[in-house]
Amino acid sequence: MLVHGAWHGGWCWRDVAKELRRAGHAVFTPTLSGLGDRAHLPWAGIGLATHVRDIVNVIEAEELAAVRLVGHSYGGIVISGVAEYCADRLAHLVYLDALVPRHGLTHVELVPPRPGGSLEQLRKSGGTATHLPAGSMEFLGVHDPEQVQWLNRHLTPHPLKTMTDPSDLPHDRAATLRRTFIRCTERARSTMSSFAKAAASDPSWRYRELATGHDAMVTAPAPLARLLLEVA
Amino acid sequence: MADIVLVHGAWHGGWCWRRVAALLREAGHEVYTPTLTGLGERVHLMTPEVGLDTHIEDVCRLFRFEEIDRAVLVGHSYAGMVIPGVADRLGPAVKALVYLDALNPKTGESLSDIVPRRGPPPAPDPSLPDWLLAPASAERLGVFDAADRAWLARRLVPHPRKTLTDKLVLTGAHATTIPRLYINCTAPAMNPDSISIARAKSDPGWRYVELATGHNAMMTAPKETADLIQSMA
Repeated sequence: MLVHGAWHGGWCWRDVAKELRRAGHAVFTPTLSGLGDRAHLPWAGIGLATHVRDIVNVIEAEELAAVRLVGHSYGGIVISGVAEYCADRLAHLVYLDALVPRHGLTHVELVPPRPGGSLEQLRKSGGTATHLPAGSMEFLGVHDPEQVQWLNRHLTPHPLKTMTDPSDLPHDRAATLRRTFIRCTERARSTMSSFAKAAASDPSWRYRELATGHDAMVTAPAPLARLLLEVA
Repeated sequence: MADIVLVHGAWHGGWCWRRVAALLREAGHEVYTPTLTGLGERVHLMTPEVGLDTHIEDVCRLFRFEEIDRAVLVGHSYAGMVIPGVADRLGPAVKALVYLDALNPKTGESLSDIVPRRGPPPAPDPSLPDWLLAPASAERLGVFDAADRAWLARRLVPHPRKTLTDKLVLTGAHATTIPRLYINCTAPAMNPDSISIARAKSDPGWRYVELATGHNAMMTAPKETADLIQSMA
């Protein structure tokens, strides 16, 4: 199960899903509420708990077990939340250049806004906004013109409440599961470096690197699929 | 190899296509099994406002975001209301329609307009708000295997009633001129006197086949269902 990050949708996993299915796996690429093909739903109330429920419900409805759950970027916060509900259905958590949340902390507290970044811009705009405009291609690490166009066609604003809701992880069940951190090293995002460093130095984590940009599922789908198959 | 989009019926979710999707993927097709808002894993997004238009838009958006440009679009049961609406909005991105024991509305019609009422309306379920419809029984869905009945019992959820009275509006001829296959599930038949079946059977513009299984053919006859779908790819 592949969980996308902020602004993306299930669509971003297209090439990775193809590789994993070719290797014989059942692959799920749900889109989080308020984004992509689910952006037409009413936004009122969409928060972190909605996104966690989005994924828990797929595991329930599809009656999945021993799931390898992958979260990209913001999706790291979501998969940790999912583990809190159904760790018994999960075999492995993969944080793909992702945030690793802590109980009681919001996205904004985990990752201090970058100067000039979209969170910073929002803060300056007075704080009445409901959504976060898409990050730059520079931030996402995507430079190939075709890939840039693909993203530009489909990135949607992200429901801001999901980033200001604190993570509810009283039992930290994610820490009881096998975990892998995949660091994207090309022009590495400083926002993810504290999580990468912590995982790299903690023997309870597997740590891997991919020499590509932050949106590895777009820029390096085949190498990423190979890393995911290591835990499948 | 084709893109194939499978749309579930009332009370179900994308989960019900598990067997058919696996067979079609094995055969090399790209298969999508979206779940309509308020149902299956999207049950937490249910509101009284969810209507036919929401469900048509759910599927249209999947096409746009996945950049599906020439797909066979399959609808089971209630989704016969949804798939012509999608074909009408998307045009050539939908190359063929498969109605799996599905409703077969004309423009301007709602589900209630074309489903024959058998006897008095059922008593409202006191455990549900009046805008939700309780699931049909496994027997009514033509499912008799004990394990499959248990599967349904675990997974079916109430369906939003607004979708029963919202009318399908078609603005062009695409949905009624592309290749269309009607699969009538006959053993047992859910509604033997159904207008939906009669229309497909009597119109040479349709390919019409009968499948000797119950209404939920994607569960009870996955191989035959997958083969028929593939034949339109």
